[in-house]
Amino acid sequence: MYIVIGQGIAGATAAETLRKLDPQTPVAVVTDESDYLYSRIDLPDVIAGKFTPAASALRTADDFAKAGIECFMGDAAAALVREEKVVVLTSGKRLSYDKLLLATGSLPVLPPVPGTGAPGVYSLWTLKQAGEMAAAADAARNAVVVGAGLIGLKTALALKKRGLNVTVVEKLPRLLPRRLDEEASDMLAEFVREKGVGILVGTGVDAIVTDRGAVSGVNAGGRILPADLVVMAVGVKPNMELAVAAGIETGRGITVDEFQGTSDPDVYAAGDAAETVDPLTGDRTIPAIWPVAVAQGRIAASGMAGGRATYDGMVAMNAVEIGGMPLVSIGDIEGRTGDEVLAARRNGAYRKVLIRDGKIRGVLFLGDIRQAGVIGRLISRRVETAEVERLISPYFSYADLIAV
Amino acid sequence: MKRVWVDRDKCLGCKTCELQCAVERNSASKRLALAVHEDPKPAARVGVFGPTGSSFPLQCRHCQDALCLMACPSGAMQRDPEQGTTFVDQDKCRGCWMCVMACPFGAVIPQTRFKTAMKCDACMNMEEPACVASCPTGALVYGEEEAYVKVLAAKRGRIAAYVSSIPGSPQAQAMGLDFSREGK
Repeated sequence: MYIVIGQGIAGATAAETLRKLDPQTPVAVVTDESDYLYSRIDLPDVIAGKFTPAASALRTADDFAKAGIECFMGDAAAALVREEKVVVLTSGKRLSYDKLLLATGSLPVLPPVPGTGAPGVYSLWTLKQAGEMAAAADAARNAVVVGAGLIGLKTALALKKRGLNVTVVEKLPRLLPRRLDEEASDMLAEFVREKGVGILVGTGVDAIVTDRGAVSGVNAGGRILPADLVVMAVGVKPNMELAVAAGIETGRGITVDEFQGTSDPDVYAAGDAAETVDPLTGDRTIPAIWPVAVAQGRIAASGMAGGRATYDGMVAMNAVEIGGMPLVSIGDIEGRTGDEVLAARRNGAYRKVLIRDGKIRGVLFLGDIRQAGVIGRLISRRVETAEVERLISPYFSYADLIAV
Repeated sequence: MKRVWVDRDKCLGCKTCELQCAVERNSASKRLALAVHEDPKPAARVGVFGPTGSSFPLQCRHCQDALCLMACPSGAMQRDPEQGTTFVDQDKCRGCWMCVMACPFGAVIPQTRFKTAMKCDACMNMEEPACVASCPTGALVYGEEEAYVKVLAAKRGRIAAYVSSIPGSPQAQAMGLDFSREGK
């Protein structure tokens, strides 16, 4: 019996791949959520009222049943007894496994400030939370979003669309701190402000202010911002409680090798919970993006079924759409002294390419993202580059790589 | 599986395929004279790139292990089980641009105004792809994979023969660049 814990895309991909690789052995999926596989990128749109929660379903209970995958929904895995190769569910049910996959994903981080537990303070990570926040937004007038990452910004714009006054507060001096440079951040901030969302960067949150038990404001660097709805979006962390309790090796995430195997030969990990190696920097990292979760889900399934497929790592990257402004950021976009930086701003678009030792290290496209993937591939392949000016031209294309 | 093939030697860089693709597949009027006045301007899913003399039309390669399919978090990017063609279901596309980030050929076109991605679907619901039908020189061909493998083998043979006929040339490995996937 294969057991997959977690019903995100890593878990679902693994379960479906296992069905194909080994149709004889039963596959079961365990998750605490009661919604089947859905897409998290839809959550801000659900809040904005653009889609119903049902529209974000990628696989329904029927789809899983048809594929021959048994699901234990709304019954979280409470413990992992490795000696007996058993998963104990919250309901007390015990499931024995031959091979186990931990695809437990991530959980939102709550910063250590007072008041985050008050009614009116929300995190956005599950479809259920999106529904709750949408309901709360009906009665609210002022919202404060803590954190200007992609969830924070997208949620802020969604709440604005519902007619709330929205302010985003970010501790670091820029938006999307991990994936933008200063110039791009300024451009994006201006763009978001034009949409009517207030932005305060370089401002920490000291406390959530409450009045008679409910949220009334946010104390941001001594300034009180009135709020009847607060969204905590300071980031996510791998959900590895189960692995830690069971004594499986962990770092910032569950440590895995190139086969997605953990320190226990019968336990694998994939997706946002797994810590792998960044092929560009060699650092241990948690990529936490959809394509990586799909790739790792497949690799883990191969290993569980006795195969030897390996995960070669994916360069840190992300693609986002913020209120109509597209953005793709791949690799190292900050660089260090001595790096060659090509950057151009034209027609409201910003294109930047970073080169080190004749090889492209990073690319940041904001506003005009065409052909970003072509350069992305050059980064992961570590291709030596000549004619570098051409890279940031709006007319750059795949043809430039092969035209003779 | 039927695919669109490119014979680079025959491409003159006239961009007729671009025009026809945009008019046929992305305009409301379906007529060039009217399409040029439409707003937003109809966009093509094929692009003629490269300098004059070595230009060629580039569109989706419908990769076997397509990175765009793996990257799509909304289920919009799909593969037609019968024809093997990959395509975007516009209703499901959320405009997250993961596919634009993933495609190593730059074949996915972000339509920022509509917040959806667009790409070549080899005109899978038409008799013949618009680009192929419009190409005046026969640089674009629509046909079965098996048939093209034969064409390619013959072409490679010619190149190899030519290369080895050059006095003093090393045993060069001649490869067609317009064929990014080896035969089965």
